[in-house]
Amino acid sequence: MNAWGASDAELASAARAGSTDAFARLADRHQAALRAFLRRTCGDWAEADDLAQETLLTAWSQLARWRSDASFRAWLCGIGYRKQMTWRRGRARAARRDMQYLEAAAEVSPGAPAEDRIAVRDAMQTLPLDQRAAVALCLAADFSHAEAAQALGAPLGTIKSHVTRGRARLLQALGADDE
Amino acid sequence: MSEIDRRLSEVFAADAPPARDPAFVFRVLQAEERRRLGLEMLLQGAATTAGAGLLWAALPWLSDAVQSATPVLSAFSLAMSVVVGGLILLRLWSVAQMRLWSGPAPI
Repeated sequence: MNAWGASDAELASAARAGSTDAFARLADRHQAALRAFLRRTCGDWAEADDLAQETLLTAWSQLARWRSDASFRAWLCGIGYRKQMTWRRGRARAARRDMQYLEAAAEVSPGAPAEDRIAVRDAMQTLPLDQRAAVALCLAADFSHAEAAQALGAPLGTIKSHVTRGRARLLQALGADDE
Repeated sequence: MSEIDRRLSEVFAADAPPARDPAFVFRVLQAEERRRLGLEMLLQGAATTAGAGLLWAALPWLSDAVQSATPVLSAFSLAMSVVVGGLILLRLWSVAQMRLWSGPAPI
């Protein structure tokens, strides 16, 4: 049980039984984590939101596959990660356009300085996808290493090493000395 | 948290969508409804096509069966009309009898 009422398992069970309202509450609860993960790994926000929508639709049709002892958001991010890998295969030629988009997005977004955003996003794009995904989950979204391992279908040790290397690369991009 | 970690956190926070986004959830539900409607139309279209195909295939046999059964069906429908009509008349008669014996309605 959490602050918004029923637990994920209760809502998933109701959604499996056909309750649209229950699935809407599940989607509302986890959309921020899913979209943030996809935005950070994908780079293109609009594309990330489309992928998040597809992910939620797939999750809805495959709810029976989710085990209630596992983390729902990790399961969701796992589906999103696989969808993104499929999407990525067909978009290599759009990479240049995306980098221009990222620079423009960084300039207009509020919060952190634009140069920090551009530096971090450029550095994120240079990371291999699995490393980027581990960084997006563990450093940016407070996933535990175990949750990230579940989401990405990778061994725990691999996740830890991805996070360590990814963090070092991002800090370097922000101008930190080697730690 | 060191200064550089704080800067990294700020950059990540800038990517975060709102914790609750009813418009996004609505779009997801809308897409699901569209998917279900498309699937339902596809299934109904397939069922209709299959039914029409079956009827077309069975048409020669059906027309023979209907023609040979016409006298029986006519007699059956006449008998049913008489029975149902009789039942309705009986019912009307019993209602009229009850009203007649119950006397005038109280004012």
